[in-house]
Amino acid sequence: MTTRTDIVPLNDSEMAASTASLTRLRDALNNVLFGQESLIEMVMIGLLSRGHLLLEGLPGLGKTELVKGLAKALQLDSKRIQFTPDLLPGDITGNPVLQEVEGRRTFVFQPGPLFAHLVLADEINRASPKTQSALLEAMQERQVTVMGVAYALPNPFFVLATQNPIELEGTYPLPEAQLDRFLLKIEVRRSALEALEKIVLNRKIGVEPEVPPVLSREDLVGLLDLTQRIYLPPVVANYIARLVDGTHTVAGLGIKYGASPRAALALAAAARSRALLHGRPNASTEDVRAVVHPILQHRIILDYNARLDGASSATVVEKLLAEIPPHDLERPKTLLDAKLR
Amino acid sequence: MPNQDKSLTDAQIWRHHAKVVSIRVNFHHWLSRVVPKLFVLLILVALFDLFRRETALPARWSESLLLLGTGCVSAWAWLQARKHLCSPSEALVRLETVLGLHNQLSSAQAGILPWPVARLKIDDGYGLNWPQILKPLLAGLAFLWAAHFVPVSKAKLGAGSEPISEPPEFAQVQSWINALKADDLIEPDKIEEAQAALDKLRERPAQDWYTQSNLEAADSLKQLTEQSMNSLAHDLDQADQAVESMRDKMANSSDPGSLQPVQDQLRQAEENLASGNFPLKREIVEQLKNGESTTDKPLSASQLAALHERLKKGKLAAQTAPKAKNVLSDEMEQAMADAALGDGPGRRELVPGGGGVGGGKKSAPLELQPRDKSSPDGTPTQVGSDDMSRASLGETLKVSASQPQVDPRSYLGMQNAGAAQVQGNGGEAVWRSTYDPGEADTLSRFFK
Repeated sequence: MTTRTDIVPLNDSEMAASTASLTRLRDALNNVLFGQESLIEMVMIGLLSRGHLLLEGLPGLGKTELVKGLAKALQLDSKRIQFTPDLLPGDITGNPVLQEVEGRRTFVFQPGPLFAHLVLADEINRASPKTQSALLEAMQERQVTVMGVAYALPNPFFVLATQNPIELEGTYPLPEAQLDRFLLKIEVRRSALEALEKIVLNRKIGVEPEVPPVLSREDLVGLLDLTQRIYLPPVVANYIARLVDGTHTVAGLGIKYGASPRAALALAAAARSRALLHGRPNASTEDVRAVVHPILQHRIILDYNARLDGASSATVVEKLLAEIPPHDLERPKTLLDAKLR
Repeated sequence: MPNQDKSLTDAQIWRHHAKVVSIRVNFHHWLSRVVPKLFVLLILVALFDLFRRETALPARWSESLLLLGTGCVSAWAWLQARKHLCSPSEALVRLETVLGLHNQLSSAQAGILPWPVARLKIDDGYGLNWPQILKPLLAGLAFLWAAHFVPVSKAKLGAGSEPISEPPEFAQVQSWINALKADDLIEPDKIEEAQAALDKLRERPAQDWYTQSNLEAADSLKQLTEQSMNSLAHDLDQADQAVESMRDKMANSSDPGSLQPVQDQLRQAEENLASGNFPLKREIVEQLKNGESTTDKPLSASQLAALHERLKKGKLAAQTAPKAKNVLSDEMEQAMADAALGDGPGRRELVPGGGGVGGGKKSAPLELQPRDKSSPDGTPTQVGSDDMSRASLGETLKVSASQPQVDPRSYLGMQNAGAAQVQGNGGEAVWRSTYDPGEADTLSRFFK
């Protein structure tokens, strides 16, 4: 077994403080979006993992509302970009503008909407590939290069993109490389009946809900640092590695192209974030299993036969979880395995 | 400090649990590999046990094989299981997964977190797969039980169960040899040769005494000995008659010429006795030679009397062997006797018991049908088997006259070979015979 690592585990006071902060944030978001607890948890996991999120769902489910509420609760600068086919890269990154400075006319960079802590890229698949690729650099390198000059984006920087899964005419589906940049792809589902009733009672069209600020930017950065100190046991790392490797090696799943090492890093980061969210100083295999769907299902490409059989990425990931147990302890044939928790 | 002591205790308890789980898992790794091997071993021991019972080997051989085999397969299974053994640390992972401890035990083992509060009783989440364990073992034991208790054919039983009685030919030949030995008339070397031939047959394994080849050999020895004994008895009788005649002639007549035929007879008998399978002792042959001779030391009357007595005694001993028996069965003998009593083949009244071939005063033996089916010339053509016990499959038991059953109504008259019987309409035969009714219906509707 491994010995003590260089990670300084969270102490009780740090754990208590972080749990309190995250609870306040969760409550604030629950007041913005009723009946979407799992969606809110995934958004918070993505936030703590410094990851970008792709929200996929039908219009009117509250995706934009959630992002706006998040920005208000965290007191972060937020910008919203409505992606359209004629949107140019300069429209989101910013353009050099000819200005007179100290009596001389010179180009001055005018930052675009990407220069914000929280960027809501609405209907991202409607933009042209050229514009999408401009977003790619910003998401991966957290900087924007215009006319050979790189401009750093603010810290923290999050992209929350949305896309509509049904109106595909006139859209440019995100390429695999760009999809891989998103830490999580979260499917936004419709609210339950009780939540719908609550929305009808508490919301009015055109009136945005009031969200009190619960965390400052510094608090958020502090939480992001604490997330890095969550201990990831070797057995969990082994489980993550086996899962990602399984997308390539497990036969019969119907996967044409499996997940990349970036997926493994994403799993580790998300597992750490979920552990902090649940007030635990170490990540566990349960955390991995909880986040494996939104992390893996947009990173695998099914083969033709699987698609013909009606399989989806979600069902394939479910099969993968069933195939690969949390520990690689071989079970003798003379023993029966109880259902694991 | 109390906290540290408690933590230490928790660590010890969790490690103990992990050790117990690892031992259990490792035992089952061994068990899952030894059970199939034990099944095969039990089958092999069962087969060996059957062989052992047939060959009358002691039971401890099977027990030893079972014990030795169990040890070997256990060691073999352990060698195979070694590659799959789990350590207590791995068992700790199993425990934290089953108990839903969110990998706290692994983190505590790494020294990152304190050990969680220990539980005295835990469930490792494993259950016993009884069918996997019991089915092969019970099946193997059932085979072993069956092999141990299933009755074995008595014909194959060995010395350990019931002694095999030797063929009667052995005892018969032995009794003749004993009679010859007691008579002290035959050369001992020749008697020993006969005894050696018999002993050679006896020395073969008892279970082989009744094989075809051994029975034929024993029967051959018996017949040879029997013929030799009969020949000896006949020659001794001749010699004895010659000696008795010579004694009478010597007592009643003084003419040496009258002894010549008797001497010739004695010489002939002496030659036969000296050259037979059981030759007389040299001294007796010498005495017979002296009896033949009129010039060299002729035997006195008392010597001739002694020789006569000895030959008579030897003749009686040799006559213990029966003369060549009639090998026909009793039924056949009876049938032959009946045939002899009949009137012979010339008799025309061919009814059962009416005489002639197969006839006689009684009904013919083993006749399967009454004798009213005669061939056209009026002579019986039946062939019967006198001894059904010797009949074998395919053997002709009966031949009788019969004629083929021909139905005259089936005759259709002269016909041309290769001619079509039904002309049909053009194209009709093709679709009617090629398509099934549904397809034909569809086609006809289409063309309409």
